[in-house]
Amino acid sequence: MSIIRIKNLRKSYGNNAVLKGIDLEVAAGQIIGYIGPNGAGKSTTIRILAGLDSQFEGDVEVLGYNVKDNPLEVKRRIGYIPEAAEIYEVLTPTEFYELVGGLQDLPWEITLKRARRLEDYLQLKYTDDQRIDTFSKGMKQKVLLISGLLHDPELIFLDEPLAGLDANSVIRVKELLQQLTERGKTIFYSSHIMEVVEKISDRIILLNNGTIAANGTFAEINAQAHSGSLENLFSELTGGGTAALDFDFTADE
Amino acid sequence: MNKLFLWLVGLLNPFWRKFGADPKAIKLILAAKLKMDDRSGLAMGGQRQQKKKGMEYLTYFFVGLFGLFLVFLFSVVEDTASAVGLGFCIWVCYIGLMLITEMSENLFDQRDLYVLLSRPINDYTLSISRILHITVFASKFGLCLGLPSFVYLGVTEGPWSAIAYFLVSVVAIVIIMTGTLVFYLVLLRKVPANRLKKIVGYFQIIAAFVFFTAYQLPSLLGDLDAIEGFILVDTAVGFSFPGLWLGGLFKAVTTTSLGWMAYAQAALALLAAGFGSWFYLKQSAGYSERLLSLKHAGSVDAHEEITATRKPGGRSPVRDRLARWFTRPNQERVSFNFHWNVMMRDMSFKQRTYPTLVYLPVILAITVFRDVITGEEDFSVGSGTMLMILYFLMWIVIIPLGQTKISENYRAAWIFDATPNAYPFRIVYGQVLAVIGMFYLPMAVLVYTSVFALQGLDFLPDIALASGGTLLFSFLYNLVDKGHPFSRAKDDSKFSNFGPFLLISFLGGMLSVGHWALRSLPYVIPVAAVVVWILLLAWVMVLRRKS
Repeated sequence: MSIIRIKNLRKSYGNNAVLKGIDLEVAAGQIIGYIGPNGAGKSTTIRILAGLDSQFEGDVEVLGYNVKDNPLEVKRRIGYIPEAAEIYEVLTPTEFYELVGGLQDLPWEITLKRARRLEDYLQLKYTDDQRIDTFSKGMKQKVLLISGLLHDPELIFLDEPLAGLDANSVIRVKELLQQLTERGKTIFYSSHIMEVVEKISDRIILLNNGTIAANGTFAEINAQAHSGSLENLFSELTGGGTAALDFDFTADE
Repeated sequence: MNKLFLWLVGLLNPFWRKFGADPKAIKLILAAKLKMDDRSGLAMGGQRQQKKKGMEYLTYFFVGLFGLFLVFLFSVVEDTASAVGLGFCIWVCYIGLMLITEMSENLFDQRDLYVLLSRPINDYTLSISRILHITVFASKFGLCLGLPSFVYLGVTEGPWSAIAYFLVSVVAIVIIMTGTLVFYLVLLRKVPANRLKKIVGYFQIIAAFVFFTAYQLPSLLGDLDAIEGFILVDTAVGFSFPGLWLGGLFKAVTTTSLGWMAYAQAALALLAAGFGSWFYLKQSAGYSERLLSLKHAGSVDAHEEITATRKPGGRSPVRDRLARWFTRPNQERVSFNFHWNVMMRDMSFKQRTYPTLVYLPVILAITVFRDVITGEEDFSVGSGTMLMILYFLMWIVIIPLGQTKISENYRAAWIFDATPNAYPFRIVYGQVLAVIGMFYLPMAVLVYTSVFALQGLDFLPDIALASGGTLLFSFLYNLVDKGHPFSRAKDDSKFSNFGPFLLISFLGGMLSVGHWALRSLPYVIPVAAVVVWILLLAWVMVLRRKS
């Protein structure tokens, strides 16, 4: 069953076309690595899928709901963790979970229980009355991750979720994502860290210039390009090429 | 304008160099900062930059109007130097207040620290570029304030007076700038980094109150004819305030017949400007290091033990009790707690809200007690004044309510868009109730008790009508001023809630005038009170409905 169905998705900012007709279907229970160069339209796609942007052309269905017509139904069922998102830092994490849980219409007892379990799992430690503005970047990222998972969403959109996390936390988050897919959840994962995407993704979608340049398992895509690694594959498919070895930016001075 | 300012700064390059700063770096930093100032930030969820020039020009227009009012001083006070001195006293209050409440934050700005400090830039370059950046704003305000007086003096006293006024204005800006900012630099040096933000925040609130009260004092002078013969400059009184020293300086450069006291006041003005500049530069040593420690103050490091003493949050018996009384345990309470917590802890909210809350009591007190202070009449509080006090409570709700839409952390409001937020009315209800609980309730208890004490129980229907109207208009204001909580940038929102504010001011004003006019008619006030309360309760029921 397709959990995401996109037909001819187009999006422009003024005269600048960001998405130029994307067609995509994603089955449930997978980790989808969504990669592409800067400005390719990854975050825009995710915002549209998460029901945050209704100014687009084409048909987009998430979990059987048209995101333009039923954004609330979509938001009830998905988790969205944007890149470098700000949070209300004068609150304590518990107060922030109370807000997010409330907006998700989740009973407080459940919110708190799930938050504590996730905090234990991600090894997020703080005192009861400690505010988020005293946290390190990695601790804030953990709060953000936890708040996006509180309502046990069926589909989770993650935009650079490992930013700011230390090595141990990265391992924990990767394990958590695997466990979530084992429970039937779908992860839509956008990142620039190719090693991680290559390792954890069941399927990789490469976006370039607003169109899908590759779509399949790493083995399937690599069979076409024979690049050996996702990094090389990415470079080949997005026209990055290999930099000249004798490049000197101070030449001719 | 920016290019002109950069050119003027360039003229002083030898001076900057003499103090150990790098003139080229100063110019580059300033050019970048001014360019950024001209471009507004993005609103939460927005994709395009919004034009803010129109609002900026409108602000300057109003400052210019105020400057026009200063010309009035020349027709009231016969002695030109004293009029100039009084005008500069107002300058000192006005620009000083603006620097304290708005621009001084730039002195502590740490956002560009890593960009700048990773380059070969010393403390003096950094601190001079900061004060010059602030000077641009102060100069723009000074220009608008001073232009009408400049033209007036040029026409009535001749071109030299106008030029002298301009030169004295420059000295005035230097005195105000250094006088205000040196204090902050000293604080930066002496106060521990983790306490500095709090101290500065509360200082700004208190300073705003003091300045505003000082601002109102002229209205207590009573008859304007009494100040016609005022001679402040070149007398002992002229030593009392920096604005009057500047009047002495003006006199010293425009007339030849002056006493030693005018010379002394002129010397004081020049000394204050010179000493202020020197002291500012002297305090700049270690500036970047202190800013860095300010940036890291309160953050958790991996090796640091987590203690329970840091920035407490969480427990609040008053909040919890009010929440239990006024909200249901759903999104209403979530919203109530959220707004209460942010309002209690966000220093920028306090800085924006508390001074404006103070203005109205000051105006009210001056209105009520003016006649007693000026000796024109004995103290008495009539029913009109009582009604004014009752309706004044409307601002106690509406001002903070407007501020719950604004935040420096406005980008965090993405959470309201990214979640279903299926009961937005409950969020609105919790928001209004949190503001009522924190601001209106304590004041209402105080005011209503005083009114009962002074007027007796006969005033009960009036209180019922005024309180119902106040609460109804508070909900109405939040209905008109849409937007997620704390979702607007401070810079982009200066006039965004102006329309709803004007509308509620107008409607609230109409209600209060109507209340006063119809008071003599029998039964009208009790009936009106019942109608208003029915409307209020009906609206509350709509907000709190199940779906």
